[in-house]
Amino acid sequence: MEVWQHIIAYLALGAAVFYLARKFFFPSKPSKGCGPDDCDCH
Amino acid sequence: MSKDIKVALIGNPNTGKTSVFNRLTGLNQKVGNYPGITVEKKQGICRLSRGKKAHIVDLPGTYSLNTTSLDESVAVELLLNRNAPDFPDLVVVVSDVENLKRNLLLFTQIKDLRLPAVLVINMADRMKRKGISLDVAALEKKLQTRIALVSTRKNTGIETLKQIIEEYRCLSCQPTIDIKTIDPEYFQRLGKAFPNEDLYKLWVVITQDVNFTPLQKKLPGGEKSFEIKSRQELKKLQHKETIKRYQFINEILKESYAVDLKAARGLRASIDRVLTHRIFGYLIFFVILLTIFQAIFDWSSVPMDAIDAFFASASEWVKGALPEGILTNLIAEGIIAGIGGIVIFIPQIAFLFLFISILEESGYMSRVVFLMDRLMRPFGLSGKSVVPLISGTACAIPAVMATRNIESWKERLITILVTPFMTCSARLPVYLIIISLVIPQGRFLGLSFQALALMMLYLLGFMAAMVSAWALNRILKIPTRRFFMVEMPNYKLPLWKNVFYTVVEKTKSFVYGAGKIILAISIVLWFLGSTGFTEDYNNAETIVSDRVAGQGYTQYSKNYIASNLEAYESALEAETTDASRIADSLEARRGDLEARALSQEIASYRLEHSIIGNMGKFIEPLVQPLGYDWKIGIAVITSFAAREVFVGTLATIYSVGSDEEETIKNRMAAEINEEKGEPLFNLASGVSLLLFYAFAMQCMSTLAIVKRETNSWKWPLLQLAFMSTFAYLTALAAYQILA
Repeated sequence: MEVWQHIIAYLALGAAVFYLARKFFFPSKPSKGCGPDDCDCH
Repeated sequence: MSKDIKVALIGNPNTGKTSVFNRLTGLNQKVGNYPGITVEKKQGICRLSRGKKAHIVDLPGTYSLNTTSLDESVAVELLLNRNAPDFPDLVVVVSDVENLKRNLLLFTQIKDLRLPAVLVINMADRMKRKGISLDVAALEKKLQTRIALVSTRKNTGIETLKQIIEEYRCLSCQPTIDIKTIDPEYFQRLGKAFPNEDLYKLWVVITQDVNFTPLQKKLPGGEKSFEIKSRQELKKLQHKETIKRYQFINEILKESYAVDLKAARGLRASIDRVLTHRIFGYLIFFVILLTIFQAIFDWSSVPMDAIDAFFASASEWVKGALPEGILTNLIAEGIIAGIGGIVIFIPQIAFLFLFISILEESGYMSRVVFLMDRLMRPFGLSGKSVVPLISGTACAIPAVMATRNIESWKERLITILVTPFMTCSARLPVYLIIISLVIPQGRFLGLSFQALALMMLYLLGFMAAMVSAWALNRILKIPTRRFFMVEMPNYKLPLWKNVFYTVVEKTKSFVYGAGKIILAISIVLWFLGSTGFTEDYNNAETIVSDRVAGQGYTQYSKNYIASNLEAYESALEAETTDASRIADSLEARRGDLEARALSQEIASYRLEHSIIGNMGKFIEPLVQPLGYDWKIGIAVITSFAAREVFVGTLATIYSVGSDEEETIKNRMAAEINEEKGEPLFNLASGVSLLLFYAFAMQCMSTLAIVKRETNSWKWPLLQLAFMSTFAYLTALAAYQILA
């Protein structure tokens, strides 16, 4: 059980780091159709 | 199956174009009754009969094809480019029944491009009240088009419009006026130089270039030599064209459109006189703002406390229900604490957008734009800058995009650079938690100090924007010409459906958007706070136990034990008078509290020597003069991604290793400045933090959008350097004075 807890926790860490890196260092191009509401600020 | 009909939706600003788009497509795009809501084209699908579909593109509002700003040029460029994938089969021109004459100018121009065009006359439900009578059949005949009389408020006329869209092939493409008549000689030469091109289209291309870029850039077959008139001459021709069109419009409206001017105008004019008055106008606006901030604090305290308590219990429950281990701790101390730090602000965010939405819907916001124009001119801004600045109270990103409807590049650049000073919703969580910690709860004239403090911060942001604009106006040497036109919509009761959608959408975007980042950052922070490679970290338990045995507990633990014992003793004395029983119970309780305190001290020591603790200690010298400790320093750095991450970060840091069921606010209130032995969040450090967040450019996405809008890294980097330095120095001054 403890092994699984470690695996899942480190997978969550990997996913979090990947998400943040993609969000702030390699952002995707903004959609052409986004209006002023799509503030893309977060 | 036949292909989809491509429809472009165009019209003057504030004619309800986006409402027509929403009715046709069933989407819920943001609707507003002040200009600048649609600054990019939006797209949707409209389902017609027999399985047919229309692909609708909602274009930014424009008064004519003689565009003067970037958002307007988006519309014209699409209509001129037959090769564009969205080039329309049909143009739907949305007009407002009360301003039909002005709206028809754009309609006649589009019709003269020989595009199938249909006229939508919106707000038909107001006709009776406004004494307007309209002969639709006569108008259709004169304009050689089909007309849909629509009320998006009452949802009438939309089916007729859909039917007209389906039958678009039957529409006439005959022009309304003969453009050659404004200067026969010039247009004859133009026709000879470009024999295969439509003359009016050529004319629009030429005048587009007059407004934006060097002449002849986009002329079809531009290689051919063609003597072009000077800018002044072309401007004169544009004026002649406008006069000619209005002559035509007057002629046709004389026979088909009548208004009883006596009807209903009196009341609206009287209200306008008060709301836009030189003194009362500002006073009323000020009172409205104050009421809003008061309500934000008063109405949201109960749900906020409930949410805070819920997350504290959820964290405790997870620890009890799941098997012990790293994942359980990550969920309880990292994820739940971090997310709780953002969810707690839902009530206040929702109330803020509820009020803003009601002000927009009622028509009051346009009066604010008008009022502000007067106020802003001395600072080098115009009333059009108000729209981005007001949007900036929600989020700087759409606000920076909304500057596209500002014609003058200098004004636009200044507005882009100063908008991030406006208090956006991401600052709100930081303000609210700090205000509730350091500003006392008393009242002044019925208004709480905390609401007044929040109001002051909003005003401070606005003043910083104004002063920066004034300085930039003097520094930037960019030639400019300015004019300002704003339409005052009629007052009306808010459409509650729109209000509801705005509140839900804005809150959802805040929570989901910020939530993803906060969740990710919370996970990373928790790992950094729960991992260490030093001897101190690995031997924390022994080191702290030895220290407690030798020197006793820290001041924080002593306070914790004493206050809990005091409360417990009072409860016991209410239950029993048996002194020995009270003494025994107190002794047992003391043992329990001391064990908890020791466990807290070990967790705290471990955190201090974890990876994040070492990082925090490294930057501490930089933030210490502002009254912050290393934990706040970490939160300030992580919140560079987005300001609201600040609270989530602190919630996670304070939760690492903690076994206590405690709310975020209480954890922050209990933090002690170890050097001074006083609460870490006191008036001096609190005000310093508030000022730092009021002025700092803590938002990576805003920098990215400023780069996109200015097409250069120079401006966002200057903005970042200026705002960060200014914020640091202000916070430093505030702390040094107040401490």
